Amino acid sequence: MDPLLTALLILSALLILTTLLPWILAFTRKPGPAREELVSVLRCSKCGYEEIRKYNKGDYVGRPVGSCPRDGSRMVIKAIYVETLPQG
Amino acid sequence: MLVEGVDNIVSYLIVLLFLASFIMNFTDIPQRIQLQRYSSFVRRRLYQLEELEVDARRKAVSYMSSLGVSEPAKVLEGFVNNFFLIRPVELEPIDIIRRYKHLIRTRESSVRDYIRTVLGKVERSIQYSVETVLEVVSVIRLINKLVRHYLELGLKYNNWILVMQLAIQMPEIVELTKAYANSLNAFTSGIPIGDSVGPLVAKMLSKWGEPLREVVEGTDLYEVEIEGRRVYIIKASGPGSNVGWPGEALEKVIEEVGGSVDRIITVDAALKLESEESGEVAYGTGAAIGDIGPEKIAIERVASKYSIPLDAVVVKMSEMEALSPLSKKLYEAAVKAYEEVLRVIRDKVREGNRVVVVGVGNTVGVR
Repeated sequence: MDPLLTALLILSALLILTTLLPWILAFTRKPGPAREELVSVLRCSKCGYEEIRKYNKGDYVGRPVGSCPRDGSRMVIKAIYVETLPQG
Repeated sequence: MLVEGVDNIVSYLIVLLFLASFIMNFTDIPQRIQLQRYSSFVRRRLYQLEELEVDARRKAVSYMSSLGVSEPAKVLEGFVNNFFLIRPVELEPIDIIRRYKHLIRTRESSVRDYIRTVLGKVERSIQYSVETVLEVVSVIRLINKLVRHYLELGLKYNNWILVMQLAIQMPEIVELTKAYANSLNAFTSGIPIGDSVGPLVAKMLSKWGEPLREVVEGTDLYEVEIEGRRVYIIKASGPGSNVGWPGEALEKVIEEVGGSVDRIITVDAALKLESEESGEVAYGTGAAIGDIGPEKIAIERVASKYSIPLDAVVVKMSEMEALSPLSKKLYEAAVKAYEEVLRVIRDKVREGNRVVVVGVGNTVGVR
């Protein structure tokens, strides 16, 4: 085969490949969605005892929720946040 | 025979290359092709935006239905295309802040009247949340309208540069719209968002206690003692979606104590640069508040009137994070910001003196 034609064909193939490569890579490297959980952090207003539990509808920071298992004092929600859990 | 055939192919290729080069360099055909490519790209993204809008509308309607609003779709429609704000004349800067404040308050009062009329008598935090939900849907609608406007304008006048610019910006626009759409889950459920770090730090300082009083409408004042210093804490009234009037509240509190305050510390979420890490906590000078003008200037004016040093503690995050439910990383950053505020109080406020801390931001999910 003519060397010029071969060179042109190789060049065209390379051009197509370099154009498509980032696109293909972006597809293959796409990470799966992470598992997330909404949690509420409860804190005893007296002894500072803390407990993390799943978020319940109606929770808000500063909401009084039950009593402390250690000293029976008032527990309040001190934080609500989304925790990202490892996949699986 | 074979060599002759190859020669022919090479000749065809050379002619083809010559023709292609002529078309590329001396005609508008490549730009027309690009215009089609970019416009189809924008259209595909526009479908995504429309889906987000439909979803946002559905969430808003179902939220209002759950509150017992009759004809929620009609209520939503009555809001999204109305309640615009015409900016005051900026060419004449005299009393512009007063004019801005007047217009912002007038608009807010019209919005609140509208919501009160449709909701009837409900808790104020619910009223604030409905207001935010309607505002979010309104923003998503506006983004959609603007994108469609620029696309149609570009196609009408064959302005391929405009369409190309729009196509390049589309991924960012879609991300922002997704952030707004996702924020509806937080606003309707009452979950703190990234922008809530300011009120969260204020709540930590108050030891999660109850406010002393409402200093101005929708803005609470707490008073605690930290290591011998009297600390006044200002934050929007929660747990509904509300940003309050921190500037006006600060002005009032400082005037009440005759300006006898050692320091003012503002805490807020700040937009990070792409090169910065989310959750970075930084300390600086000035009023940390992303306000259009009146609240920020009120803080600056009262601080300069009584020569009170004005500190700022910010938590860096992206726009997406600011509108999404608070992540653990940002919560930990809020704890760091709280410690930073404590350090400033210990180092720069003398024992027995007063300091005011303002937790700026949306207090959704934070009482």
